[in-house]
Amino acid sequence: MPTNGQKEARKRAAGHKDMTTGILEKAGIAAAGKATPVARVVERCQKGDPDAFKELFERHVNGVHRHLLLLLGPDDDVDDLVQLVFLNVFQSIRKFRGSSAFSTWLFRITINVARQEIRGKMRRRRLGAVVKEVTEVQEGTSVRTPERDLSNLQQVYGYLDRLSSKKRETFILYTYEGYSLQEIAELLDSSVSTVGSRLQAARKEIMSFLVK
Amino acid sequence: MEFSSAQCRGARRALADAGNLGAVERSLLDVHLRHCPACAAAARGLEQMERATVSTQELSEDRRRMIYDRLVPSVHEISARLREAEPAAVVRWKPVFAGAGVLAAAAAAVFAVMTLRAPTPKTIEAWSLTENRVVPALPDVVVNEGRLDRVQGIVAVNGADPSGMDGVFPVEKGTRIEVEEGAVINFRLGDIARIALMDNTVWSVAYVSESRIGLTLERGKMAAEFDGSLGRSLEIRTPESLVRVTGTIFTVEVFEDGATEVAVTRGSVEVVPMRGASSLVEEGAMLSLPGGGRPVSLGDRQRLLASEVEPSDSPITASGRMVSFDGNQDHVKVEVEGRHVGYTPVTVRLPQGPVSYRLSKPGMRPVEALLEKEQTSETVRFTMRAQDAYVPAVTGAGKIASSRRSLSTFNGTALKDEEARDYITRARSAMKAGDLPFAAELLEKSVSLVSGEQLVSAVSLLAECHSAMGEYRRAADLFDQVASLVPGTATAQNARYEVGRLAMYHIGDFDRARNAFTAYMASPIGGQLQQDAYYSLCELYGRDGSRRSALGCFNDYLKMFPEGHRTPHARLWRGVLLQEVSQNWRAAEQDLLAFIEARPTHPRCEESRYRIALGRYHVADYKGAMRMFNEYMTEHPGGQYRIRMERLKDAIADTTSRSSKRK
Repeated sequence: MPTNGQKEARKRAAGHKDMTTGILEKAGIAAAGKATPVARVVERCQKGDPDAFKELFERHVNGVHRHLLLLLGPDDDVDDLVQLVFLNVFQSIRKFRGSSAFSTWLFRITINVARQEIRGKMRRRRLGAVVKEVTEVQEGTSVRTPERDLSNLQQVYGYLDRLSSKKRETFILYTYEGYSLQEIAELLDSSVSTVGSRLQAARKEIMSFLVK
Repeated sequence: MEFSSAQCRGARRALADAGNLGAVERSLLDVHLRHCPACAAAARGLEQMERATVSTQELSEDRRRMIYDRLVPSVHEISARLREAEPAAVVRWKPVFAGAGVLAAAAAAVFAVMTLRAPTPKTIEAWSLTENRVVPALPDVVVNEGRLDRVQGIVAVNGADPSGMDGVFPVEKGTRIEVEEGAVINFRLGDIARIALMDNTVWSVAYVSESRIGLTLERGKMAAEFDGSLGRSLEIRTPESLVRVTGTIFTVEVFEDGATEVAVTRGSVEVVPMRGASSLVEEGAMLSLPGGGRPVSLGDRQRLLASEVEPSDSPITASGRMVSFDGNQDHVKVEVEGRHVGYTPVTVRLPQGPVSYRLSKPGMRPVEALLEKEQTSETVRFTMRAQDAYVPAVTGAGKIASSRRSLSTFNGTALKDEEARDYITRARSAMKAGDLPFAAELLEKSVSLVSGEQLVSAVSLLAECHSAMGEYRRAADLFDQVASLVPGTATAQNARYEVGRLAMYHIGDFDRARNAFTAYMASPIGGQLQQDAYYSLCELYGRDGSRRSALGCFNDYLKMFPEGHRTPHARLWRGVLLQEVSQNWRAAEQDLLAFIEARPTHPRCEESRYRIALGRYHVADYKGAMRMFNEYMTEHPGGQYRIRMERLKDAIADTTSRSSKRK
């Protein structure tokens, strides 16, 4: 039986869904209401039509931005990362063969950019150049009252920063985005059981941070 | 009761795996949590973490444009490479030295000559010039006028004879110049370029944006002297290539057979062929493509071509004055004489004489003024203030203000009203400034002081505040309170709808949502959201698993609102439900087709097409199913339902082959 928090989160996430929504829709990457199907726009990009690049950007920029914010938390550099994602997309657009949905492909690139950013952050932290507020958050979390108010986003991401990138992604996608384990497995190119284990491990680690 | 550390470890493991626990394990865990404060605290912490509201705001139009502007050079470069249909010739010459940083240090004056002989060859060697890919934020330069130096022969500027233009013509997106055979036109592009067009040329301005000017040379010859200081760059698009000029002197010639010559007369040029490494061509050298090899010395022909516009040691001077706008806010929109010229910090060339300007930024009070000074350059320093002054709470401010008014208001009730009004006004400002917790604090104070209409508006604002902060339960409770404060009014109706919306989409309390929407629909007051409330009610049934009720509800909805804005989605729902509940494939198909027609780019068109194909299979319309299969594959290659579609196709093939055997 899920915990109340899980139930709450799942229900909340269910608000984004319709009856049988696909990953495309839930990812928020696929934008509705545009005149041309994504496949055609991608095809035009592959032929080097600059307007198609712009169209592709306009269609997906909000989705990419949203995902990066969710994966990384509040971050001043998120615009640069959005730029980097699209630069990677444009540079490798020829490699996209349509074996998966474009949004899934884009999502994987977004995840990779977010992972690089997280690794960079961790490296900087090891070198002592830790972002001040993160340090404060982490110090603040090791007190005796773990159930203290976690509504502050900085505080939530303070805990999430301490998880490995894969556990963190899984936890965020499952808890805050409302994806099923199967969908996460597909997005992260992994198996359902691995994703399940990661989720469980993430929860255990978070609890251990809370009670330390 | 005391627990061993092993028991606590077990309990936390169970907590982490709470979704998969059996009833017995769950009850054991509950017992443990009831008696172990540490584990109970961990459980509460985890729950709060999972409940944390992680919301994100959409990117603003300005930020989107800023990000895309930084991508533009890469887009041009990538698209130029992709456009090249034929594989480029292998360029064997090695880079003299690579490194875009060298370009940045090159000469400030740029002289570029491009020639394109009509008709444009279709397979010319593609190439482009690049610099650092990440474009730094640079001062904006707006070119808003062209000044004629010489016109010889038949020339048309924007379709008109330039002699009647007093030597000046506007330069903006779409400005077009056509030059007949044997004619020449020399002009200056603001203060950044000197240009000569000659011999059967069609030239136009593609864009003038932050720090970049884009020109299009459809055909003919163009020579230009370009000032690349301040990091400005000039891009010249031809039908087959893109040239980006930032800080050097060179000539380019494209021949009818597609051969290209790049000759450098001052500084150095980086040339990037379609495929292969980039190379630097240095002063006095010329590179021919295709063919490659090392750059050779440039000849008289290239020098002659360059002489069409003599590089000048004197700076390109322009009339008007350079004006910089800078102030306490960045990224402020600057409009001069009603025309958008850029975002701060920005430097623009303005004509002499008084000009009006307007500075604006969302959330800030716009600044409008007249610029009258006549000096050659100046800086406009401005201070922008928040749209509504956001004053932090000062205890007693309201009381002091009210006591100064009149004796008649100097009684308890008036004082309270005044104070509450003050709280509400400041709360509104705080909400606009984005300080929601402070706004909520002020509103909570005001709620305890007011009654009547003021109470309703205070509670409504407080509810909005909590909703925006992600405290949806509290927000819904407050909206309920509003509805009970003013029963039988439109305000109560709107509050009910908000309760339903929050309960359905944010809290996940379907019963509460159903009650709220039903109350909305049942109220004799009515309201503009009747359609939405009804649709939500039907959707609630569907989500709750009461599919038969949902089908009935959507049937009624569609009878009531056959042309409503939610009708396409209602038809999608009904189509799905008709298939799942009553297996009425034909009727379902009508609904699904109607949805696709009304929302052709909606992501759920994919599911609809799959369902239509499935329905046709069930009614033995195999040809129709195959048609839909083909349509699906065209519209959604690599879609989510691809595998199911493939299976369906196999099933159709099986069935048809069996039936043909029987025959």
